[in-house]
Amino acid sequence: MDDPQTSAYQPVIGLEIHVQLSTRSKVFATEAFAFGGEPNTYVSPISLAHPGALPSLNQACIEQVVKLGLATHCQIDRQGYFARKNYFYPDLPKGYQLSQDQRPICYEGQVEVLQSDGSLKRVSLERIHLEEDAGKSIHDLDPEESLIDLNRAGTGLAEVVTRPDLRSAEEAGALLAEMRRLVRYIGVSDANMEQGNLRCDANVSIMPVGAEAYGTRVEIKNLNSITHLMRAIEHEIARQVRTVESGGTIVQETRTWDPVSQQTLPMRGKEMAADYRYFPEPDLLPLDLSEDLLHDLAASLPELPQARFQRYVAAGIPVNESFTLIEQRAFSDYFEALQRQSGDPKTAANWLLGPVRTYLNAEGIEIADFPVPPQAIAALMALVEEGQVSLPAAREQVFPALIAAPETAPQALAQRLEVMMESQAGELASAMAALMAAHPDEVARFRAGKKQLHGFFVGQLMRQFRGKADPKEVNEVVRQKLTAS
Amino acid sequence: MTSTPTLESSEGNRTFACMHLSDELLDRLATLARLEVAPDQREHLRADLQRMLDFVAQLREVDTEGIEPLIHPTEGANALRPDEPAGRLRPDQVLRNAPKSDGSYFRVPKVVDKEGQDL
Repeated sequence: MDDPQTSAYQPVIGLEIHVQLSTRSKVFATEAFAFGGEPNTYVSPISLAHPGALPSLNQACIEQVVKLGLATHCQIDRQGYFARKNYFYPDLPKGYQLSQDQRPICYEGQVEVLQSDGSLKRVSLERIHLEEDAGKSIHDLDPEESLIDLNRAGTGLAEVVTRPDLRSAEEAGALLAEMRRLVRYIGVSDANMEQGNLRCDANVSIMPVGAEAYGTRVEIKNLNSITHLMRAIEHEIARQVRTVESGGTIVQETRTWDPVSQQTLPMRGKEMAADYRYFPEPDLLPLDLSEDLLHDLAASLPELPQARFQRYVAAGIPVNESFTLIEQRAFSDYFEALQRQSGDPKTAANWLLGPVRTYLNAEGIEIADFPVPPQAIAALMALVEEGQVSLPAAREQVFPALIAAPETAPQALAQRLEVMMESQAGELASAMAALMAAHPDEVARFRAGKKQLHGFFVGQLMRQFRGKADPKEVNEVVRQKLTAS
Repeated sequence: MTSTPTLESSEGNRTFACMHLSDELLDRLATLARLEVAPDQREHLRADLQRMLDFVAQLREVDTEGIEPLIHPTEGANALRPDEPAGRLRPDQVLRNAPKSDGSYFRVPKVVDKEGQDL
């Protein structure tokens, strides 16, 4: 946004985020669903819209949408109901999508978006409703025909609609990252963008800086990664600024993002305004959710990632490290256990983001596959803390040994590796006395002012103890002996 | 620019009363339903639809002020099922009634062009 032309305009952005719910069966149909299954193998007469097939609502989907609503501070409409959204498309066999119109389950929520500098940006949510996904159309395998796979048809989606509160591509990217983290933490979705279980549309407009009325908005469809979302918004803002600056007007339309040419393109065939003719779904009874259910679901929510982040920063862990710690639930859970058992969040963070993460990256594995339990790392941290093993020895020798033998106590490994520090001050003191007797000249020169000879004695002692003495302790003994008159 | 005739979509809307089914509206309905209406079918279809609209207009005359909307004609709520997968069909059963398939996928006339845009 360095371009002075661009900086004369304020972008205004809202997102529609589709979250595929991680249930065992579909939302209105009873069959299972698995990503990557052979085409048309997860299909029932309900998904096929065979005559007489009726929808059957999955309780888990309701519970997940309510959980998502509670985690985003939404009002919950306990008497919501479903509606038909009518349109024809080959991957929608019924000719309508089961969705919600007037009474979404969740409305008027908000998300505090954690930005990369650690600051928070509040984004209001208009609604979260439950709907079914369509099947999948494949257009690029055959020149003459489109191929339809109905495995995904009828799977549960939560659609999160934000208010136009976002002001830059970065903020939009941060919101999507926040939502991805949140839905994973509360366990309502895998939110894997490559697999399409988190998808996003963006509404983008511009207005002169300082203006209050929003400009005409353009909807960009099907943004399937955070990078694509941000690039698409940046380019759409630039396109709108160019259009307005050259005397044109922005047309309300739907565009797609083409990652190859790095531009948004208009979607043809949408000239006719969509007319979905919503009406209440007669095949499904309305909801009547009890206070008890809402209560139980609220109680089932884990600590949210942002609360953890705030706690970590308060414990003195730097912002960027706190960010990394909360990014994945499993990693954050490991850290929680480690900091609880060690009682030292900062050092725990250093271990986890240092040697542990380096190991995970090198092996290409996730924390779930890390063989060493948190209590073993905590025990190793304690050995360092108590001065029994030096930090370098702990990192370079005991830690790899621990990975090879996760069941063995770190202390036993340290003994086997002969890296336990001989921390008896008495032994060090007598060794120092002998050293001073052997080097009277150096002692005299030190006392005459040549202070760097301190290092000479430290080095001699460390060599004698073959690195197994605590450097802090050695330093202290040397200082005391040399300065004693 | 003349506005496209629309069927007001929001629930509870009252514009149906005495609506006249114009040629334009008939065309629009046909497009939304993806139907090709032959010229000699138009009058029959229009008369049919007009009767439906008139029927609804008659219902609209009832004063419903202050009465809760009836979302569903039967009593009850929360017809929920536990999240347990039940039967699914074999692919050959899924595809049996399709006008065209290749044993794995339904095959339909191209709905978007190479760039992924709707035709």
